[in-house]
Amino acid sequence: MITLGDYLIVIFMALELMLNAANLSLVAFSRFRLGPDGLPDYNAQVLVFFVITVAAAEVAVGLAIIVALFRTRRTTHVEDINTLKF
Amino acid sequence: MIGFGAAVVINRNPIASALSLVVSFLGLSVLFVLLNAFFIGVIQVLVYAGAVMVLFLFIIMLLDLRAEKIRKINWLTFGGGVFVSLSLLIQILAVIGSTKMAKQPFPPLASPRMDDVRNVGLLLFENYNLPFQVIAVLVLVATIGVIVLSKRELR
Repeated sequence: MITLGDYLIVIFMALELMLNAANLSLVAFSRFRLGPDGLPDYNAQVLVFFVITVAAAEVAVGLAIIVALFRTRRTTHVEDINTLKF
Repeated sequence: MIGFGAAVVINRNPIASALSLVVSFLGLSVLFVLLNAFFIGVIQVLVYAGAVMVLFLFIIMLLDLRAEKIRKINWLTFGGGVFVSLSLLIQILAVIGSTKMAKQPFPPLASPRMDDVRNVGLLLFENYNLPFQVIAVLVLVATIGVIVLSKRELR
């Protein structure tokens, strides 16, 4: 469904949604697989923490790239950006 | 939550899709809290609904994006995306339904109240100390990269 979005920013939002889906499955597995002491498996939650951090950094860099692209090309439509070198 | 997630992609107006993304993230954090992952739920609200969404809305309003007119949809790529995602969904459902684990409910916790933040923090600083510092370097590099990209002269 990511092919529906025409703006680069909307595609970024869809990317965030996918990362969050992975996070949700990780947390569900951590709840499902209890340790010997009856607590959830916290390794998965640490992994979710890392995923959230990397996603935030990636969003910052991606939005900076979009702004730089808008400055040089005056557009953020996906179909208008079809050359590698400009 | 899934409905708002679909609204992110379907909406033609970028601001409307950003706001539905906020609602979707809030619903996701409620799910995290219901799964007894309180720390992750709070982090979700703080980082996503707070920081990332402000960033998205700021960029949308900075670039002054309008609700776009309906362009010609490439039906081949659209059909391909629908086909791939639907087949993946069917396959995952079949695999999960065929295992024994799908029948049994969630095992009960030892105690309903637990030190969620303390346990995650202990694990983070004992077993995962090196990845934690690598993540710190990554965030630093991302910050420097954003500053370099945002400078007026790109070349």
